[in-house]
Amino acid sequence: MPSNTALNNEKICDLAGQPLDRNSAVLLKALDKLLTVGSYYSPEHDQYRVVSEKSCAQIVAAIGPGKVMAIEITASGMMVGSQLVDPHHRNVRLFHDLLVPLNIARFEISAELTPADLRQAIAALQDHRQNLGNTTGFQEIKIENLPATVSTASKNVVRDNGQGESFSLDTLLGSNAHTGNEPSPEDLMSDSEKLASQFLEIVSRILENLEKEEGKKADGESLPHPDSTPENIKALREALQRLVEVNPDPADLARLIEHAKRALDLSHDPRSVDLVFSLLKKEAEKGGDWKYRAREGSANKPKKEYRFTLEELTREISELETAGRAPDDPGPSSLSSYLGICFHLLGGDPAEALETALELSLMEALTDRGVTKQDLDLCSAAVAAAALKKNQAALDRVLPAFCRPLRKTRPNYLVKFWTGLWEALDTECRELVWPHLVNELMLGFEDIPDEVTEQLWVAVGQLDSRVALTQISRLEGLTALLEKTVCPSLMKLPLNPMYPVHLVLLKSTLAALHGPRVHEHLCHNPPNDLIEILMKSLGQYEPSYNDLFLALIKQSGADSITPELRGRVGRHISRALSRLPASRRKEEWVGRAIGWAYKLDPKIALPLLTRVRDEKKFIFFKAWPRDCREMAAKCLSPVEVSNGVEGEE
Amino acid sequence: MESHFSDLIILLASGINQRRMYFDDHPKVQAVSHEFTTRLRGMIKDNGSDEFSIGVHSGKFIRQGKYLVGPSIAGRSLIEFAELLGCGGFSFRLPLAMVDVATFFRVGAAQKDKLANLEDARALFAANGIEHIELTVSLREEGDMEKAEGGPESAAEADFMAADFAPLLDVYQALYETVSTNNLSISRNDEVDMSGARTSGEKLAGSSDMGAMDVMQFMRYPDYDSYTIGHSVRVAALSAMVGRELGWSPESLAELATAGLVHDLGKGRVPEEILFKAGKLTPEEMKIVQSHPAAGAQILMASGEQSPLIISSAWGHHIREDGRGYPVMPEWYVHSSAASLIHVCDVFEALTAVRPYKAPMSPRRAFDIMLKDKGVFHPRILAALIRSTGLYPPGSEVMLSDQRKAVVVARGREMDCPLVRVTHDPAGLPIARSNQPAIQLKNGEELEIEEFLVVGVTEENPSRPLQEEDLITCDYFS
Repeated sequence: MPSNTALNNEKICDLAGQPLDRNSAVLLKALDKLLTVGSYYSPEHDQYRVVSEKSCAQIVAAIGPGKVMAIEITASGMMVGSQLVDPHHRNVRLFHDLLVPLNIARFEISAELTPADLRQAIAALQDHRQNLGNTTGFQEIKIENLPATVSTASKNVVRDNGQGESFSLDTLLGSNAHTGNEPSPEDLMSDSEKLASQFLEIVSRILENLEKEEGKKADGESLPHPDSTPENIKALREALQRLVEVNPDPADLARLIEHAKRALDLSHDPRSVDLVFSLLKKEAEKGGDWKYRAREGSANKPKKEYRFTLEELTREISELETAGRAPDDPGPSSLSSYLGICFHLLGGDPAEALETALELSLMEALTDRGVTKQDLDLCSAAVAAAALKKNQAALDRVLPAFCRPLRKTRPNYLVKFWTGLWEALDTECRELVWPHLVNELMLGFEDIPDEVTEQLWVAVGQLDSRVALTQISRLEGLTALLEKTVCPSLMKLPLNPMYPVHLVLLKSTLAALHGPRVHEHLCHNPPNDLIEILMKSLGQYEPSYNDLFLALIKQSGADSITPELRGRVGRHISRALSRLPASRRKEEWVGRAIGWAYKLDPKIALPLLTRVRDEKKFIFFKAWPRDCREMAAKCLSPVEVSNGVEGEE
Repeated sequence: MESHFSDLIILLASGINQRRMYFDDHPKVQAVSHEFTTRLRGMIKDNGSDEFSIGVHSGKFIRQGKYLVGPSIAGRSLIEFAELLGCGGFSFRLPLAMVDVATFFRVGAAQKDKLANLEDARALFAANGIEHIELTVSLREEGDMEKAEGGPESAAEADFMAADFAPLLDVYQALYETVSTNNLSISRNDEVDMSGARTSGEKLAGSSDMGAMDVMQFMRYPDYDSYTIGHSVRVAALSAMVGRELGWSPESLAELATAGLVHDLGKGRVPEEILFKAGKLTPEEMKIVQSHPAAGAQILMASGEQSPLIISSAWGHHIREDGRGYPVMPEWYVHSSAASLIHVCDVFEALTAVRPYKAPMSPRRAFDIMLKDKGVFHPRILAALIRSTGLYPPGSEVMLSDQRKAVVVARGREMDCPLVRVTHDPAGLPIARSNQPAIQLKNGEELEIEEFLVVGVTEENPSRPLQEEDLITCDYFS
């Protein structure tokens, strides 16, 4: 008798072509159904739970009370009971494919399986399966988290020489015998399961009766009804299969059961059976929202619903191909993107190794002749954005990374960049970028007219000198001071407007280098007579003069100098004159110096003036030139008049 | 202990691969030989034994009688070597020397033909002066005296798979190894090996037009290889393919393929418990995951990589065309076309690839989704992807209207009419490779593709609703 499991009337045959044992088939189909529905719904979905309950009931019923059923994976196929099944059968494949990658050789279920157990077991296997894809190393699979009613054994491998070691086989969990006090499988069913089970039983009996009628046909008896043909019975089976396979509605089942019960009461009446047959067929064909997978041909297959038909898709593609701009050439667009990324990272807080890498990358990228103006503008925007954020640390990374490569290759662009940036920034932001601009100016811009750089010098000269002093350490970390480079253009400019710069330089590690330059500048370009005299008085440069120079630079633009400076300068001149060797007394500045000494500090200058006027050498000869003596006398006369002393000739 | 064992397997396979690409004295080959020898000695010493054995049977590794599972691609070359030698595995004894290991790699790389018997294999080893490495006898499964090749369907299926992949295995393995090695380096805070990545990328891009498409066939390879690694390999292949469709230069294609291989390097810095979390990610976890593009780019830069294309692709492959996405960039930032391309391929691969936690999507369904929001992808790059893959990318398994199963071999002129090779009859039985007919489908004819199948899942199985974690790669749902 052919299998009449109404759930799924497709036969499962073993490899010898024989139909599978009924219970084995039910077991496999129930597992397959749960796995199939599991690909529709998540494990938490009600529908999955409903199906798990039904499948569990079928499995338990197939196993029989107190027993255990095993499925074994062999090289030839899947062994269920004592039969080998084709692992590619549509009702077998999903489960087979779940077990094989996990190296499971044997899968056992006991009759005490519950729906929760079944769900847990499937979930555990699928978790292990999923974890395979996450593994990066080789490991033995140990199946865990199985319920007590389910057990597995993995494959063992031994040497093929008949003498080698054999490896221990994992022991299986023993199946528990029924004690008789446990609830029967039927008691464990939900109402839906009971309904379904009832329905299946009834329908299978109906089909049995129908088949009996067919047997009568074979024996020559007339059929109760022309429709009771093998084909129609097959169609009914398929319809019933579809009915229950997916999304069974208990209300539908209840209706069908009513029909079936009514017919069964008259089950020995072929006409009544026929009536049920027709009614069931109509119910099954009502369709509605049942999903089904028909194999009667594509005409009956539901059309897949895509957003676009093929024509629409083709049109859509054509529209896409003309939409927007063509994708940029990957080389240039990648460079632009890359530059942006580098500056974005530099503006953050990169680790030291990354910072070094970024600087090197930018050096290479920005010195490449292929970099476009658009790329440079992008970088400028990135730098400007960093400046506007007023993040000093970020600026100290970003500005050098931008300026260093462009200094040699694009000095024009760099100058314009600085001009634009300075104009765009407020005072606070300017303070932050000031050391970097000074650094750039000190390093100099090749082939850039002096008048262009002068404007930038003038700009940096406008910074409050107190603020400038706070930037010394930052400036000392930059290239110009590290390499002790000062562009000559600075010294071409008047000193006073550049006071903040000179202040910083003369207070920095560059003081020893910059001081002599300032000294030379003052010597050759004294802004006034006094400074000229002073510089001649000072003679060679000494580092101790730096502070004096700064004071002179600062006050040289003023109408008058402070008393303190007056005193200092006066003392320097007086001292210089008093030490002046005889051979130099005739220099043209000496006379004026004498006058200045008195003017600046008469008290200090008085002994000197007296000496200049009166000093003799070799008893008779005047030690100082006439103009010096005259100047001294002139300065002294108001003093002596006030003291009542007549001047001597 | 298990991780050491696994590492040794991977080192052996890697050594054979490296030797295939380079020569005996190449630093990479020497380095692998050295590392394997050192680790082996350490492991043997720790165990108190003098031997380390690996079994090979039915295409898998065996340890103490049990199959091991793992990234089969990564160990493929070692398995193949054992199969060619006809042995059941290898046994390494002290005092193993580096020269033994290096010679082992050389012989493994050179061996192409199956040897007649184990004695011949042993003679080969002796002739090459390999000491302290023994070939063990064949293995069998306990209780299973008949060989698998006696079974018609399973043997045919295995032959079918093997024949399909054999010519491409070297390519895929090299790509896989590149990504796998670099991922491991990231997890150990070591430097990334970009030279290996570049070599692999060049190989992929430099192959024929069909070469990249052929690699796509690995979308249907047994999916218990690491998904993360396989994903990068397939994105690389897709990228080269789409770039070629756009007419980009060979140099750009090579860089693009390399970019595809390394685009997800930053995921190596995301904790695994977050990366592989099954449930919904918390906002904090999402933030960590979304840091991977920036992390990846920085890892590359810190390793000395200076290719703008590769860096910008790693950084920007989750930035949408409308500027949304991550990492969030300022207005002045320019999004590179290469990153746009990787983005398109990344999403397509994520949607259509086989994963255990979701049903794969057919390309057509994927296109439906990708075309939904116009602001996400560069329109012309998206068009190029659709044109180059078609509705049935090569390697896809399909069901024909006469119920035969087939594999798509090549695009056809029409999007829905590819060239297919029939692999199974209407009853579902596999057809021997030599008898598989090739059919060019045509519009208007009766035979057509009825269903798109990927590893047994049909088109009609809808995906589970996309979860938050899917949005990591499918980030166009806002």
